[in-house]
Amino acid sequence: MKSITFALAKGRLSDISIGIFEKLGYDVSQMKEKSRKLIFYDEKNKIKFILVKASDVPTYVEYQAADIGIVGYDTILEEGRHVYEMLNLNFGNCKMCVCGRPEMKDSFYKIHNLKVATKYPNIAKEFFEKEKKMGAEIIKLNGSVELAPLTGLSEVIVDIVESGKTLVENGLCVFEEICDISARLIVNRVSLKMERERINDIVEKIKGVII
Amino acid sequence: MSMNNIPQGVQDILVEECLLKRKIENDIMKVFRSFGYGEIITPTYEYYDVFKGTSNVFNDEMLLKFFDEEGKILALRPDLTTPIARVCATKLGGETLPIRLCYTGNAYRFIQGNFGPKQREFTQSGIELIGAGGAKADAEVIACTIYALLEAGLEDFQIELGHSAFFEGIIEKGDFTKGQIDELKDMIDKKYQFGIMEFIEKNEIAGESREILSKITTLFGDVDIVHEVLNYDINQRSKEALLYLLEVYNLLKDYCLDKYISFDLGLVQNIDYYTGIIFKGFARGFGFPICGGGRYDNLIKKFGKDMPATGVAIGIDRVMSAIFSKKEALPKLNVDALVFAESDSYKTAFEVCRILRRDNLVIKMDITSNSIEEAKEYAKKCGIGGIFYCRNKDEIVAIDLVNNTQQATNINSLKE
Repeated sequence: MKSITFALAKGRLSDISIGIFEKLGYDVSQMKEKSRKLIFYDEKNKIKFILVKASDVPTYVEYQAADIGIVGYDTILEEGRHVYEMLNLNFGNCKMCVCGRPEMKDSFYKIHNLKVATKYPNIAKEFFEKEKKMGAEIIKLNGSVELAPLTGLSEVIVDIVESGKTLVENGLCVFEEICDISARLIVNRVSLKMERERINDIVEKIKGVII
Repeated sequence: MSMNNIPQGVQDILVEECLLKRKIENDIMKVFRSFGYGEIITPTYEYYDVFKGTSNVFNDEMLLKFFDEEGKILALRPDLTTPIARVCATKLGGETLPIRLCYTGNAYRFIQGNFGPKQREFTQSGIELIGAGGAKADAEVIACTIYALLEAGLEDFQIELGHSAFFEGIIEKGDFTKGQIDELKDMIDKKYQFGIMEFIEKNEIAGESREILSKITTLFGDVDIVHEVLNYDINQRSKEALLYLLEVYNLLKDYCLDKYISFDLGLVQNIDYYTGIIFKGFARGFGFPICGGGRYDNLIKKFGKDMPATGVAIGIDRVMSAIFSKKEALPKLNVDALVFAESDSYKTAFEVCRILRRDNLVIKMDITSNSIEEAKEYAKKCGIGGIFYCRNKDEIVAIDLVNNTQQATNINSLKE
């Protein structure tokens, strides 16, 4: 029997994901030891776990390098991959927001060619072009996005906001919410059909432990 | 300079891989022809209007466009079904129905967005069964697809059936806007049950639609799922769609092909091309569909003649990938023997080649070696097992490089 492969996002979601697998009775002992290994096996249950960068989870699943993935909705929206989005796991909850310096709050939408710094260029483009019908110059950054409005790189940022603490500490505030974000269970479109019983069983069990 | 590169999305297919590709194409076409489908060839490019004016399948960004000398817009064909529909409406009026056509050819699309294989030039083989409505026609196309995939070397695959009228039946009574329907279709397509539940609550959907929508993401599997859903409270349109699927399934059972069939009642089409049964094929080990098809009764009408039609397109490149995933070695280009001649005996050598090639042997003529020793080296390097050495006009030596033996022979005995 072929193993079912899970792709897990490294970082804020992986610990909770591991907790879920533990509740399902999978052997996650190797994963809990902090090591540099990226592949873990539960031989008994024929499960393989791979740890990948969050933004790569949908890619692994789309190309069936993994059958199932756990990743934030922010990544799914940004990557736009062709996968089944079967469950809202209801953890890692946060919001995708437009943020900036408080004094800009009422005037940012009047700036022509607004500069938007973000790790999520597709989401930002979609929001400003399609929903706001605004011309916006999207500037892709790879981290510490909060710096952009403080250094004059951009007027606003588009980023996920969990508690808002980072924003406050950097003197920024939320201008507008784009959408709710939470962890999702995604499944490869062929795997779901070719391994129907096993994947259905896993999905049902996960549903059982998250609700 | 882009002289040494090729554009994104196109590919050179080299010798061994090309052998495999042609073999798959030939195997598939052989099956199509054995069902009585006649091959046709349509142009690689046509007027843009042929594709743009007939359905919403192909959007502007997807088509590769250019101009003719009069400024008319041309487009490389994004599929082969649309051109065949045009041919049927305009050139095949007098044929006895139904018409059975098959094809192998390249199609071209600018693949947009992030997802899916990125080939912009890809090969499709397919069949179109035109002028016949009903389950017997659809079952024939699906059966023919299964035989073709088997012949091509796949074993572990599934053909998944759905019906576009099933979803239409569910939303028929609800007073939905186009935006709501699109939102719903998108969530059903992604099997995002949570979102559908939210949609149900937000729009206060009640009654039959509520029950079925809340379960729609789970309505896939073997034939039992169709029987189960028939017991639900569904309207006539949805029910007829399910009964039609069963009719096709029962015919496929008579073909003894039911083990390859599964169902997904949550298959929704965002394109207006298909009007009835729709299907997709999946192979274990390859993450994307390998073929797709269904009934398209309205397409030919767009070209001026009202004819029902059904068909399938198999993605040859995808079948190749599925076969690669089984880790099978690529076929080798086979050469049966090398012929080497001394400079006064070319006439004899060419005669030897002709005689052997007539027997369907693959014979390479050595045109570079200066001596029989060099020829032996060359043969060994190329993995050729034998040499016919034409020493002079009458004397031929058959050298077996594998067993290291040789034997004298002549033209007359080779002829026998």
